[in-house]
Amino acid sequence: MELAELKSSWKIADATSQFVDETLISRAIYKKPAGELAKIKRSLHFKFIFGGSAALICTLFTFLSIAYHQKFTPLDAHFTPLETTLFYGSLALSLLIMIWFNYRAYRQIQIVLTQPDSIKSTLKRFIKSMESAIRFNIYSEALMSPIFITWLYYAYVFDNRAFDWDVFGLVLLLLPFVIGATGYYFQRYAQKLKFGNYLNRLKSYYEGLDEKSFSEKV
Amino acid sequence: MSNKTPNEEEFIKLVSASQGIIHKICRLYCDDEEHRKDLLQEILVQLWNSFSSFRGDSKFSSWMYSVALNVAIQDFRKEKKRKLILFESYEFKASEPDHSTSAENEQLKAMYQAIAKLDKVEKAIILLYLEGSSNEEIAEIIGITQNYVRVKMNRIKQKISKTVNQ
Repeated sequence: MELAELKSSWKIADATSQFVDETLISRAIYKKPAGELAKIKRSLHFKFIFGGSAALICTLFTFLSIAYHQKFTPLDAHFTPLETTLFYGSLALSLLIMIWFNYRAYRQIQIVLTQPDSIKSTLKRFIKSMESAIRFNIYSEALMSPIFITWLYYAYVFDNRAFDWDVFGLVLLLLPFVIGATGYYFQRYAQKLKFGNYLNRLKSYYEGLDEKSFSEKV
Repeated sequence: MSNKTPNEEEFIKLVSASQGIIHKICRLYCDDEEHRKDLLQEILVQLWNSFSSFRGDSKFSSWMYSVALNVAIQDFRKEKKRKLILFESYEFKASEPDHSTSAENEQLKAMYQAIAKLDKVEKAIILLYLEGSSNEEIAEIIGITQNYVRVKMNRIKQKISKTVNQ
């Protein structure tokens, strides 16, 4: 089939198109988008609200534990006042870092979804936004889990004893690195499993539109 | 009384008048009716969400091609059965009576079979070509040079000939 034949066939297809009425269009446009990027955006939005609220509470508790050093001790069963400040402070700091990366990934996705450009340029931005969101998921796991689990371990093991350079002390020092590395590789694998094929396909489309890589192949 | 905003009314009128573009894209990118309806829904949502970015410095149809083709290329159909959100209970109304004969049906079938072998970006290029877009317009919508459009068209031509000769 030559292109001219294809064009004549296309004219027949034109007459057999099906149409929907205006009422249906007006109802359809308010539905939730189901694309991959829109789903990632919704997940980031949820994490932003959840993480933002947690960051706000932790920041407030950090300041309260500093301002009312001896009076504000919500965790006095496990922590000294200084440990309470460090506990809330470290959580607040890591959550605020996460919120910043979350916001950046969200903004990138928002631009891709609302400001369309040429196919090549949109593909490039789409891939970049997805990679940002994936990086956010990996790093948030690698940062948050070790901080939280290490504090839990500290509260449980060092509840009735002082820190010492024994096995428990060494475990405390190694735990954040072990949990961080495990979380990082697990999350990287999970994200690859979830989005790897999709992202690779989009990248191959983008490469196909890149004249430089095409000339190199030829 | 209609409770649509003027912006929404304008959008619906524009999309309704050019909706043939969306249907052709859906037909080209989807294998079955269910997928076609899902993609149609997704394109309509995306067009509406991006409508504020349409400034009128290009033709509405060109803008619509860009948005709809972007959605079709990014669309990733999972094997699991998708839930039909809206169109399940609606019937599509035919724009014109279907006068196609069996010979025409065969011709259409051959055309879709040939196009089905192309990748998603090549489908976008051939669609624009079949719709009568100039190389300049194709280059602008796809985001490549006119020279590269010609290179791509040659490759598409070769692929289609190969498919037919098989």
